[in-house]
Amino acid sequence: MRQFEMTRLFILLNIVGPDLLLRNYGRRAFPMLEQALLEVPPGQALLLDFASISVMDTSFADETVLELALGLAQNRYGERWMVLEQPSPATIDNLEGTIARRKAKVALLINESHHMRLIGHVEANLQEAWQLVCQRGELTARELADHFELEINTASTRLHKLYQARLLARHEEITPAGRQHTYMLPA
Amino acid sequence: MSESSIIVSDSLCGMPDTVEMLFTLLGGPSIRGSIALDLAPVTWIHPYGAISILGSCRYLRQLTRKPVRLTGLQTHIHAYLRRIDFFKYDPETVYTTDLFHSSCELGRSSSSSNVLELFPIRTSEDVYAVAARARRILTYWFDKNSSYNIDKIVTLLAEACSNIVDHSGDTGVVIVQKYDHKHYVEIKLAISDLGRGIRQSLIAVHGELSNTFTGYIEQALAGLSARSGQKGGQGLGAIQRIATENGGSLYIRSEMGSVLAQATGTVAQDNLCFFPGTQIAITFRSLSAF
Repeated sequence: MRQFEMTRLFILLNIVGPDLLLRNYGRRAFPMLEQALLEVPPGQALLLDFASISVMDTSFADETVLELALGLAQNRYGERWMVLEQPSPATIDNLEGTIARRKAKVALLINESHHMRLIGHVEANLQEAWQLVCQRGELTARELADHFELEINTASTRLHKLYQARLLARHEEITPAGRQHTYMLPA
Repeated sequence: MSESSIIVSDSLCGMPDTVEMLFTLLGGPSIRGSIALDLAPVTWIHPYGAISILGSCRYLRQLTRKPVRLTGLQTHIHAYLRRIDFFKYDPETVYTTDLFHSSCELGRSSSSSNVLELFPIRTSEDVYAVAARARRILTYWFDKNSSYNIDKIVTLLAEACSNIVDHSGDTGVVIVQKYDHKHYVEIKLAISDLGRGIRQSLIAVHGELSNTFTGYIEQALAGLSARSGQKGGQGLGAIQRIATENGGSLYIRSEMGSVLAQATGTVAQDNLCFFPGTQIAITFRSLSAF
């Protein structure tokens, strides 16, 4: 996982911390964050480190984190992921509010004290599948199907949706039974 | 030409709709030449009242091309206005010839002050500056475990002030003040500009959307942006969400309409006296210990 310390934006944007505010500053920050994401090798995640960021307001979030999340979900950035490391509670509120007001079908991976969770728009059945992957460390569609007594196709679809939304990573292997994907949290 | 006097009633400390009485005084035929606002009846001023008086002076200055004199100031009112740097805003807009004894000056210690003085907002840098200043004083207002409350207030401040920079075309002003209650702290923020108003901002991008001023305010609250494209429109909705948690409120007045938003719902009022720009009163309540 590659890390980008969000406090770097204070210098890059020539602002005094500890807050990231305003849409026009977010617009200026976006290319920097996008570049950081593109510099992550495929198969890995960009960790946005929010240490020492007191609050990111909704407008800044709308222009940066939400735009990156939408781009990831639309496969604009290939096999890459994004994790937000320890955003403040107020920042999380603002992110959730931004997603809700924009009616964006997107969710974000949040890491808080080594505990990952999702915020944003996630259907309940996908949320529970994601939780099970977290609990188990890695999961196949067969294991998900067996756990929730689902048809294999249903289980496979749910995991695939989470992968497409860049909320899970996956590893493919060819087995005697055919191609199998194992899903896990992004590294 | 002699000076005309307008008596201001004791309406500057109530709910924003009470302050409305001030705006009704500004449209009469006597509005020409030098104007004095007689504040003798005024016994208390809340932040929204303060920015409304300042906005009124700015508006009268635009109409008459002359600065407005405040008169009849009770000592504690005079002290309060000085404390919030009211007369430092622009001597070409408002001044007073009322005498004031320095012994009546209110203290300015960050650790004991309950107010963040009038702060002009014109640029994005001003928004960052007022947010930083607010954060410093908020650390005195709240205990060290209240970073969540402080962050929320900074969000309110930034979102409200950014609308001045992005949409009003005017230099606005903001003031923040703390009120201690038995079981909670109340922070009042008041923001004002004499810019083009919400209706004109939205019409410029979306065309005519409503036949009422409140219709445009409600569209803005619902997320309609004065920016073209999909993004934008986050600010007022975010302010409403944060402000109405825990019993607070958001009041927006723009030109001839107003909307009051609380957790219980919204109340819209049209056909108000015309007053240019947008005025906002935010009440934030913290339920945690302070």
